[in-house]
Amino acid sequence: MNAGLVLDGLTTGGLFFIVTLGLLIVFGMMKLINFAHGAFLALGAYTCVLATSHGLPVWLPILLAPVVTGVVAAVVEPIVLRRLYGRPMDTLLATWGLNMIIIQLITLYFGRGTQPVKTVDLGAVDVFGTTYSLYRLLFIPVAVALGLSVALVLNKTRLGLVGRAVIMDENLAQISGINNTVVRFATFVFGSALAGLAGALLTPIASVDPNIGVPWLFAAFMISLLVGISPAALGVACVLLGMLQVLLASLWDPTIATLAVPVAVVLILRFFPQGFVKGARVS
Amino acid sequence: MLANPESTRYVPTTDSETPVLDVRDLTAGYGGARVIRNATMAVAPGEVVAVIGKNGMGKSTLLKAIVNVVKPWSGVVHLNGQQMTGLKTYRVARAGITFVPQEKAIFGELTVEENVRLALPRRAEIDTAMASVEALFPKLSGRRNQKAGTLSGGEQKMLLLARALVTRPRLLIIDEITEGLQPSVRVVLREALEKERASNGTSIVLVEQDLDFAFRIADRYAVMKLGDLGEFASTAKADWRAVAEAHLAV
Amino acid sequence: MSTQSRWSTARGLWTRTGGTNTRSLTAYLVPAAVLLATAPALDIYTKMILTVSFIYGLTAVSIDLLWGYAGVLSYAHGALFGIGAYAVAITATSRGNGVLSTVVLGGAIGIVVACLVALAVGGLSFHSRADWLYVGVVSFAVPFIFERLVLAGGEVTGSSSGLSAFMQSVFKPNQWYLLTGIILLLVLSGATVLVRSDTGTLFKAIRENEIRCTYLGIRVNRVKGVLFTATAALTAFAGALLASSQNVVAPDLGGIMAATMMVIWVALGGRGTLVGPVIAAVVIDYVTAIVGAEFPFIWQLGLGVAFLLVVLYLPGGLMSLLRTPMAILSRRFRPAESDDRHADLVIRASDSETPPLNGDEPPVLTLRGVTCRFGSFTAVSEINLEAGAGEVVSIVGPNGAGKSTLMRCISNGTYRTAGSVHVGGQPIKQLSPARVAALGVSQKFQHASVFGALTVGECLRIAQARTVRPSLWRRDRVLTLPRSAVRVIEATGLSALLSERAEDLSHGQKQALELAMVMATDPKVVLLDEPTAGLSHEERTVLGDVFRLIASTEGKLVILVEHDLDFVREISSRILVLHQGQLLLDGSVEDVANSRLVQEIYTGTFDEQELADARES
Repeated sequence: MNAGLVLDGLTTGGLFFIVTLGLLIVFGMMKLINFAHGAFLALGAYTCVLATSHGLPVWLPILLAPVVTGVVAAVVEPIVLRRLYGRPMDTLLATWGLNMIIIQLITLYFGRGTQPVKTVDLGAVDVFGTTYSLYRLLFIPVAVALGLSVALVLNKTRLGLVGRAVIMDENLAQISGINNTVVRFATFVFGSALAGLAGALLTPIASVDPNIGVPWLFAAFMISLLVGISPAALGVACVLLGMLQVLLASLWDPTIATLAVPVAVVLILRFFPQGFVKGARVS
Repeated sequence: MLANPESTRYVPTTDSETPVLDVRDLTAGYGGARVIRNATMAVAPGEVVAVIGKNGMGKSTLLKAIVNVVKPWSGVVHLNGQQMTGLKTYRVARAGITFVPQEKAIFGELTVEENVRLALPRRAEIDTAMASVEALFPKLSGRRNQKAGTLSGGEQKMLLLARALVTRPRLLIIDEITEGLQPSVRVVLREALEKERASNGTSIVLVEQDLDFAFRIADRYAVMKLGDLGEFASTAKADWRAVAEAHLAV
Repeated sequence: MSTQSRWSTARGLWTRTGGTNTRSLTAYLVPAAVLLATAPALDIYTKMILTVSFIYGLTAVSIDLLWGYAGVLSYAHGALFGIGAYAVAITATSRGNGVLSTVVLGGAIGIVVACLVALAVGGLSFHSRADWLYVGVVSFAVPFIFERLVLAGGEVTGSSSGLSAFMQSVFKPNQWYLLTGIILLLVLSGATVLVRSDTGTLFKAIRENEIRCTYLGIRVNRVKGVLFTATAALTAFAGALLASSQNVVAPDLGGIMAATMMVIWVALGGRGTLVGPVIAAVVIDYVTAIVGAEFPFIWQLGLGVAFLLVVLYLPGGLMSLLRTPMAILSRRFRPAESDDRHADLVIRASDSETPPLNGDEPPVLTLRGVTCRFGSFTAVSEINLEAGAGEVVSIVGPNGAGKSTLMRCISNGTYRTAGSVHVGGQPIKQLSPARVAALGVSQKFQHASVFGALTVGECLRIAQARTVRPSLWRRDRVLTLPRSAVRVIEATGLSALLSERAEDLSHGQKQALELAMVMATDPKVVLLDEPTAGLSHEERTVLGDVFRLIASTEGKLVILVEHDLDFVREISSRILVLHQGQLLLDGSVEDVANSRLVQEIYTGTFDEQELADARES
């Protein structure tokens, strides 16, 4: 097992984490799977494309992307999602429709093909006896930072306390004077903004086409079923699944490797419907 | 046994023209089934009233309809003259009606302190609040960081009540708080309520099965039968055992 | 009944049974004629496009049967379509010739593989611990996996370029057009017969209220599995047709986008109408082919928007828009005849005799040490009970005493944590509610749990589904129900309401219907959870008499949970008092009424010590 492979697994895990965190927060708080998450990811990536094509330095759109995505989410939540509160199947379909719409709009404007993006050349560093791309390595600290901040907000702030209360018991939260509608709105915007951020981070290393979000959405979707609202549990799951995917890619076939996550998750859930964490699945 | 004549019973004050709670013709139910019909009642500031009756008669539904946890089909609810009917539940809570439900209504996974903190308005001091909680319920002192779900049944009810009292409500609506509790715990709860009423003039609407408890603290009571709320009568001269026989017996 | 009327009733029955299906079939002769007549007028290009559209119409039938009628949303069918297509393409490529026999072989392989996949997916999705979200996840994974496998398939599957030119001309485009058109119409008429039959009613019942079906003894998972596999075969067949007629296959044939389109057609056309989805599929696919070259993205965008709007505002799809004008039209053309669906049902009581009670029977229900814990909370603890036929046992106690939980422990073998339950001598072990129902237990729930969109008659028919298998093509016009069920129907006035939709009934009537459904399974043990909740005084009296009759005359064991203590006193032969999960008192009405302890429990003034003493005794 060489260090390069391990680093690949860790960085992939880090990337999974960043992509999935937003979806997970929305799932935990609002009890809905947001199929438009992939489209938001694409929105973030294309914001990056647009910004860099206008000559802006790469780090700026990485900050801009979550804002753009957040705004779109803020418009979508009251118009589409609020109406469907309490209808989980319809919410699923509606977010899927939204996904289609956003991706088609992107395609209309940018075209179907892959976009050229100015790659970030941070160079490579020597780590654990192997040379590795610095940019990829950054995924790990970014993921950790995001995870820690979310955990901190959840556990140490009043905002987080309110959020946890809503996750645990919506009715009781209402009775205690918490305005659920606002909490849900803020959660959706935040979760979607995270998707935009992930998309922007992805652009230098992935080929950017309108469907960039699809395989990530899928993996994130699977993973969030497995894990509760705990960022720590998500971290563990992401690292494990990241390693699994990387191993399969090197031992077998990269395309087959992308199947690792869904198949593993489906099988695990069959025998452990509660997922990894006690009380994870909110049914 | 008569209700204690020395208890802090409701004494009408001259400026209490507007009832704290004014319910007119409230009708509500679940699905197609109507559970309560044309319930009418009024509660003056500082007054404690009890609604009693056998199970399944609609007492809980009445309380839930007042705070809009169950949407009323018709009727009006006023708090201090303000229209409350059909207002979103969280608005009702913020307007000064605190509802204490029958179910284990605390956040089990949160600590005692977090539970109290959630009930407080934003900028309130948590330490002062915790101090008053511990003064009311000494059993809860030193438990700030204990997960609420690990408390005993009686302690959980104490926490529940403490959370409600910490919000300094105008009106407390309590659904069968003594259910499943030891007599000693019931005494603690009752004393806390009496203290609250005496110092803050909080009005209370109670649904209770424990008539001894109810009659000791309430000024008036009414019986709920098959969805109909009866006339209110004073508890001053009532014999709770006779009432129990008449209305609750098998 | 006089000979005369019996004869005309019998003849009427025959006509009605035959009538439904004949009418469905004749309805499809019209479009068939149109198809044949217009064929010469269309150009080859249009016919080729329509061939594909017709094939997709077949997939719409599959998805609608599963989703619109049985309530199972499946994305997996996209992949199943792809499997059928690739099976033909791969077989033809490997054999080197694309003649009819190869096509048939490939098609057969495709269908078999699709059915195996469907069984696997079904096994994963349709089990008691799976919720709808898990089912959606699994079905979503299938097209994803299919696409990846095809892409990784190298030479065999042609990877991202797909396979082409593997067919030798089996049929000419003209012939394909007519063939697929006719096949679509045949499948559509077959599906129509199916959904109008009792089996179609069963699907709808599953969609409406799956739990109620389970507690009636219906093996819901099995039904879903069979339907899933059958539609898988149909979809794979459609895929095979596509590959054979178009002579090209590509990975996205069976991918997520394709699966999504199938769902969108059904949603837009109108779930649960069959005709709507088929028309939507054909029209949309046709337009997509025409417009696809020019404005592909705007069109897709428009579809996405239409889909979203339908989900938000028009869940019935476009068919719901057409419903009103169609109702007017059909009344214009068929004023005299009533809609067959609501034609009068005849209810008959079965002739089987109840063996007389002689008091020597073994206990019908035995509980030993039944305990139910949720985490650290013990809801029910160490309950022992023996009860026999003919008894009316009421379970009373304050809120939270564990009454409903105890009842659940009897009807659901997986619910309790410890102890044993025997029904008629048979242990229920860990059996699911459906299997326990088969042992002779039937439960009525607290909130009237019926099938809202079905008529009263249909609800009763489904209630019998476990013992009288629903037909795949007919509707039974005569329901032979157990005498106890007929008693309930007649006593509560349901006999006049057979054509009413269950959701239109009053609360009291719904309670009565659920009771009749419960009795229709002819159980040994009847569990009633707060049966008089929300009922008027007259309704309670009627039901009280019915309960007593069911127990004494029909020899059932009736167990009820009740709050109304007057009611309990009137009808019970025995009362069980529960308090905080423990059985406090098990005795006659006098015993319990005279017990001071019970008084105190109800008024909450008991003494812990007295309670403990009482439990020891």
